[in-house]
Amino acid sequence: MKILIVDDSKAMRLIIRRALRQAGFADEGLAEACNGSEALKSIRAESPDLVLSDWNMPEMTGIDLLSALVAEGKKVPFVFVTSESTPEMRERAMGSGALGLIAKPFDADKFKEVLGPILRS
Amino acid sequence: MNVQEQDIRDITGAVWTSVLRRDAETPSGDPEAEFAGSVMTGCVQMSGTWDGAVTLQCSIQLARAAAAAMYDSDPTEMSSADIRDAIGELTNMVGGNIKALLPGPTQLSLPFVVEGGKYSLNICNVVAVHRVWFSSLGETFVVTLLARDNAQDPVSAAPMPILTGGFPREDSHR
Repeated sequence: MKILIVDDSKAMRLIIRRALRQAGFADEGLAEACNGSEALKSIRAESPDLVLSDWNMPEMTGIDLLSALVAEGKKVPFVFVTSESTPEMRERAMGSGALGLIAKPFDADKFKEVLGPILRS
Repeated sequence: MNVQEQDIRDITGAVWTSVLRRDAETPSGDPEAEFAGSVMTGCVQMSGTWDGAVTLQCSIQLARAAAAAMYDSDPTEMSSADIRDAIGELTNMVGGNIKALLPGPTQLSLPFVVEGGKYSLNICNVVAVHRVWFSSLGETFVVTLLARDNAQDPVSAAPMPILTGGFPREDSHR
């Protein structure tokens, strides 16, 4: 199973990797992208099983990435990991096709809670 | 304005505990007066229903220690890029969570980071609403919430108060 981590912060990508490992998802193949544009190319080439994406990024935001995937008919499970956690942002995320939104800062238990059902299905 | 000083303490404390696995405590004495050396400033701006900014300012030493905690590495291994990335992301998380308490819809900018021994940061048309000091990893840092002040003349407005330390200490850079 392949998970793509999308965040413009290298430190945050490392923290997400750590949380995935602590949540018991260490066996998943992990890839990284530093913005939505790079992620889109990676998704087209590698077809990951799950995308964990930040919202605010240079070149292409996470919400624009999700919209592009929907427009291309790509049904990849998509979860936001972002400091943008207002009810309005959550509503916009779900309305755009995201399966969840994990607010920063987070812990491994939150990853288990949100990602467990998605990865099991 | 729905954000109180305690909200900033709670949010910053949660980010520090979760991301750095360290406490962000209330310092004793006069932390600004005791500060000296090069300052790193992380900033995110907000615009929309609410306009303003959040800054996080600390010494280079604290920034390096924070980066090392995020990377789970030794402080001497941290590059300048790693340190700027760490402070930018910490500012993003603190600012994003403060934004959730403010009227919306409001957009959050990408973070930017400034570093130097003596500089004046001007964010036009804003005033400091809360300036909250912390101590962590043997150093102090400050989180400031700034709000737009439409009555302020942008030409004559005073620059945002920043930590006015001296010139960079010799050991403050790699």
